[in-house]
Amino acid sequence: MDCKHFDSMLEDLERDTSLSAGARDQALQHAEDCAYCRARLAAARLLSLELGALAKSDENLQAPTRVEASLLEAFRERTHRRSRVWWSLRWAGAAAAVAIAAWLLAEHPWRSSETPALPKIEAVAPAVKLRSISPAATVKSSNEAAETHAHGEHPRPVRHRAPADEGGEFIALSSTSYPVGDGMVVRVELPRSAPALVGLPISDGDVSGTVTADVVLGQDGMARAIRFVQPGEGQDASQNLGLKQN
Amino acid sequence: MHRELNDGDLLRRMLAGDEHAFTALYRTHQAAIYRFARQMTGEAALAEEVTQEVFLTLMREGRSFNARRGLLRAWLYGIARNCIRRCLERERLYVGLDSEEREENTADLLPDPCVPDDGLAGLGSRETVEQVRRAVLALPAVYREAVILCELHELGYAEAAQVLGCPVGTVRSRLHRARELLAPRLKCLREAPAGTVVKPCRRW
Repeated sequence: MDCKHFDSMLEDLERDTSLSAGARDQALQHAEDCAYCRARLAAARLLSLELGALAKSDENLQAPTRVEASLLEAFRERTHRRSRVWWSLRWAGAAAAVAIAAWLLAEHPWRSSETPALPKIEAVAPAVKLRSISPAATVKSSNEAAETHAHGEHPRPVRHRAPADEGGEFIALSSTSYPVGDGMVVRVELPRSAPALVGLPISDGDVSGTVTADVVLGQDGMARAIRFVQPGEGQDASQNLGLKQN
Repeated sequence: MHRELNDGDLLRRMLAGDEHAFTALYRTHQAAIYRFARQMTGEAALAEEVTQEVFLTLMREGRSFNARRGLLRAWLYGIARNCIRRCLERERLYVGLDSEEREENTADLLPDPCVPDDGLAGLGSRETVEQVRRAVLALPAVYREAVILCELHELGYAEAAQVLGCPVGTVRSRLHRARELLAPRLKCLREAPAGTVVKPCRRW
């Protein structure tokens, strides 16, 4: 071992770390033989002792108790603030969930079952003899007609009064309840596939040909409701031809 | 209750809002951090400020501690080191530039190391301890932190390297250099009149 090598391991000799017994013995032997390295080793040992004395002198140093008190106060405030934020978020989430649920209930198609029922249509378009266009019939209830008659008024000519059992119930065509007012009922012929559009089965599964239907039109001309007329109900099937729309 | 828990468990509890866990962590580590800051700065007020900042950082950023990278103690030392550095930089603004140059060149003007004649006679006396403290404070900060961590706090090279953010070899060489600087400074201080004031070196 030379002095340079000894110098490189001087701290390890003092710190007594990761130095093999063999290397340590060699270094100590070199220090015995070399006066310069012996002096350096002695100086290093003295320095280590002096540093050890400083470490021992400081070993009881502690932060003042006010630091702990101040930190604990900061910790409590922080925890409290985080807790407040957490609860605010939870409440905001709950409110958002309620709002979404309310919106879904308001807008969901299920609500169509709660739509006010359309007025009972008792007078419908006549079983027309016209082949091209069915004349419009003013929508009046039978009660209203009877009331008019009771007052001695000359009953307005109702062109045709369809039998009550002529067709099924009207099916609303809109989930929104537009007023019908003095609407009209027109009889039209539609492709046989039309019932499927309102969720009704197609009879016999045959989509060729046409079916007859009564459509309630509002004053704005928009279709409000529809019912399909079975052939032979109140009219001859042969009369259900050629009606497009009135 | 918390005495059986290790630092990792205490940290998890602390982050969940457990005040007792925070107190336990503080009481475990505050002395070392305060001592490190005090030895690095030489001022009780700065050490107090650093200690407070370290544990506030633990509160704020405790989640960023990764146990696979090392011990919580080393992580806290690292935070303390950064705080000390900022403090010293701030204090440096109030120190004349020429004083640092003087400090830096002191080692070169000192005589070669030698063994004092009085041997171990005065070792451990208050005066000797203060001489050593002044000598350590006069070291450039990179050497001072190496000698404080490895010699006064008895950290291993690997842990000191984690604190200082440098390779183990760098720690070893800094420690070697620090000791080389310390020995003549101590000799100089022993020969200096009593009451000589040494300001900490603020150069990093």
